[in-house]
Amino acid sequence: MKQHLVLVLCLAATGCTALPESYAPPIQRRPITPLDPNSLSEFVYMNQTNAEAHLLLDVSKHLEGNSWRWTQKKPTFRFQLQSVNGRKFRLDFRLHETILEQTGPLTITVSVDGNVLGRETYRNAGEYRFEKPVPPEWLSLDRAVIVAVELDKVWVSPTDGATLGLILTGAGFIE
Amino acid sequence: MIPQPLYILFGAGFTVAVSRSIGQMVLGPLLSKLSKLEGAVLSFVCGAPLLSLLVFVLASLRIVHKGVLLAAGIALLGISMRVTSSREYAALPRLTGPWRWLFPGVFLVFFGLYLVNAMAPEMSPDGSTYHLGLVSRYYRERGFRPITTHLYANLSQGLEMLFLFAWPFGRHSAAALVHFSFLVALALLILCWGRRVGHTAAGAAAALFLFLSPVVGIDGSSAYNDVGLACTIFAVFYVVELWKQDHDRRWLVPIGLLAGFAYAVKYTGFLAVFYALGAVAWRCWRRRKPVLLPAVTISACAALLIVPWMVKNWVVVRNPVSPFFNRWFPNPYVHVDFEREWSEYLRSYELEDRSQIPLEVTIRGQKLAGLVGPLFLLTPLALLAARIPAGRPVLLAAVIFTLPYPANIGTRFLIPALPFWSLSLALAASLWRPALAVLVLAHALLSWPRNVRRYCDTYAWRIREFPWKAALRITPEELWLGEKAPVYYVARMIEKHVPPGAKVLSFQDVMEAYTNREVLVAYRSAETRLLRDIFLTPLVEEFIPRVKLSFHFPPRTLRAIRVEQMAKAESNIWSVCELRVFLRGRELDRAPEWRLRATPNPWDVQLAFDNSPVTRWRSWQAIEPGMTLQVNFGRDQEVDSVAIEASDDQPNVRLRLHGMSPDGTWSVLSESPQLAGAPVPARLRRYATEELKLRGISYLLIHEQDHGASDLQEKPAAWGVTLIDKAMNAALYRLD
Repeated sequence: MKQHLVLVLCLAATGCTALPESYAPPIQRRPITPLDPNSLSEFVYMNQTNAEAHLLLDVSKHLEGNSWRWTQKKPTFRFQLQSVNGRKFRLDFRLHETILEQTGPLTITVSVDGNVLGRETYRNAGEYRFEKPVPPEWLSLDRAVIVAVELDKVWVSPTDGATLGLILTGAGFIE
Repeated sequence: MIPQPLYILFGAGFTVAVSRSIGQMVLGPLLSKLSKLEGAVLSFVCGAPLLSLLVFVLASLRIVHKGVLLAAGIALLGISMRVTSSREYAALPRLTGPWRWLFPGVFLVFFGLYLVNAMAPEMSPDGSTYHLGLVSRYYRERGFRPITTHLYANLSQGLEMLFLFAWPFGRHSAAALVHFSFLVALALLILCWGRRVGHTAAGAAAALFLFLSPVVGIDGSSAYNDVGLACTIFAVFYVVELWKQDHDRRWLVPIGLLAGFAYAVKYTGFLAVFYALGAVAWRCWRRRKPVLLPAVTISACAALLIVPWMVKNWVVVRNPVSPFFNRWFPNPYVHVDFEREWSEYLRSYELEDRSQIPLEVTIRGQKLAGLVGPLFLLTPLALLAARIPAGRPVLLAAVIFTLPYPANIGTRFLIPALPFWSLSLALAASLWRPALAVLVLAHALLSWPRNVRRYCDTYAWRIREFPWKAALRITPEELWLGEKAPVYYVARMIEKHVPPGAKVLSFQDVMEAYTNREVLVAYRSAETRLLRDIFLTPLVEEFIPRVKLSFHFPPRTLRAIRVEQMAKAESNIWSVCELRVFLRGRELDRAPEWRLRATPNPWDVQLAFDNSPVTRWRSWQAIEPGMTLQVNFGRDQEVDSVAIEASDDQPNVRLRLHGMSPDGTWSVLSESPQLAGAPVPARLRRYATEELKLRGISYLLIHEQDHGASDLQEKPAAWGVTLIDKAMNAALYRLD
């Protein structure tokens, strides 16, 4: 009898679930205003509505394949940050096989507001992500942060002299 | 370079070999009571539960690495070789007469067909979505991480643990081959049982009845678990019958392990525990022997396999038997109404009439996803097996293991009982011996893929061809999958465009086994259903908060207010988009000291207080009196009205307002609210996108037939999304 009672109590106990008592009010959502095509984000994909607002230099205005843009020798961007601590700069790009065959290994140097963040060399065609933490003292909330990505070489078209560098899909700051 | 098929065969073979070595240790001296074939098959089936348990432990410790699995397997093989010595085997009657060539001949032809299909790239609906999707994820994450957005991750996954053991070596096809091993084991066990009880021909015929059945063939050569369950249940029956012969207590351990494993493979296997306990207890009682010790032995061994899955679910989703019994175990992960809707669907599969079931499961095969074959139209004749002493326990088991079927009438849910029905039918047919061979030949002809298509429905789930080039990877995997299951390209599109760590919300299943990205499928959890609700709010008129319900009363000083729902209706779910409290026309700020409560679904109460027009607290179960939404102000607060903004998809809801005075007494403030229209908020689409982003979603996968597909395509700027790519009939959008 005692054993049965223990069994019943054990089974009954498994049926008891403590429900939460109560919650505080959550963070209040703010009214949404339409996205300004000139507004700056922390990170931008090349096919984003406001992408062009971020492009200062050496990035094509023409969107290819609905997702990427060609860069030239020194693509330069601006971003508006919401916070400066614990931020990383990220660059999503591809290297074209034909271009790399012509130029050889490609080195990029990333600078944030004039401070060299890092330098990487790429020897093979393919998809790449450059990602590095940025010291908070290099960043500012009061003004746009300028990021320059300098390529040590680019492919130059023998016919019209056009230059091609990275196939860029996105750039900016992430957590 | 080692060809891929060898990796696949190694992955499956290694898993089977390690299972068998464990089984040899479990059975130990008992093996000498078995024939060589029985011993080999039962060793594999009895070892599988413990290998599964070992992988469960490794996954819980998050050390599922290829090297760890390899080392563990080799160690177990080594130990087994040291502790198991060569021994004598019992002799069973051999196949005689035409069965000497009929059984192996027919068996080997279908064996080849299934083997090739199992080795071909896995593309089964459930196998490539969640069975192997989860296995792939477990391996990627080195074991279990809490998953609360995937109801299939809450099911017991005993067989998936074996798939996980094979996965690092041979990936998808190795897992399918592991399942196929259970199919072969099951057929051989049925054959052995016939030989053991002196009904050799009936055993051979029954093995073929089962083995040739179209749904058994496709299921057993895919990364599913139904055949694994059937094999485990039949092994329980088999070992119970062995115990009945000599009452050796050592049989009780494998009986318990197998019964527990049946639950671990699939919840519906729980019956095996009751079957084993019932059969053993009945026998002991009849022989006036103690019942308690055998029952405790079986229960303890079964618990070893059952409890880990219950504990995992208890810890992760607060419900040991999730995704079921959510009323008993309230939790924020699976909604009560989802369970009800899902269960209702599984009981009906939207069939107009249950009288359609016999023809659907035997011949047509489309609506119930598979067919057992026309042979099984003769199942009523199986009752004649009761005339044969050996047939009675088989018939009883057939009835018992068919009991769960009405809860899910899909054809494959008949598979666990099918070995018993096959045996019963064969025993009955053996009363007129020539019938057996005729039935086997007819069944073989009717089950051959080219012939099945002549009578089944076009889209019946079945084996369609003999893809030996794909099995040997002469045809590349990508090419084969792209041709046979073009939805494969959707998974590859996700893999290509979505960065690691980003989450994709989809409204339909995706071949998750072919992408490393996390895809949240809308119907699979409370959280993802909420995401779906948010997405649909701008699109579905009835979801938009266009109704305002206002309670007005003379100014009162209150400690708390409570809105009570008083009606009962199956078709309505109560929801509140926003609840606002006013004094003299001004809304009170939602102060940090406020405390919010809801019954039921307390976990979502903040959705009614977040100021977002696209989120709403919902009861997520049919309305019934006593449901409440409550605000405690944390201090005395003067109030003179309360307003609720809500959608108008809840016509039966009846509300009244209570207030708690400073002395703690509750009284009714207003018996009914004033109903008025509310202005529809602007930019709902953008609100929805922002809300999804806040909840961690970065991408939307929308199929053409999904609600909202055309709206997204036409108004991407209004949503704040960008079309990234399209594959098949699916579009991938990024939330900007």
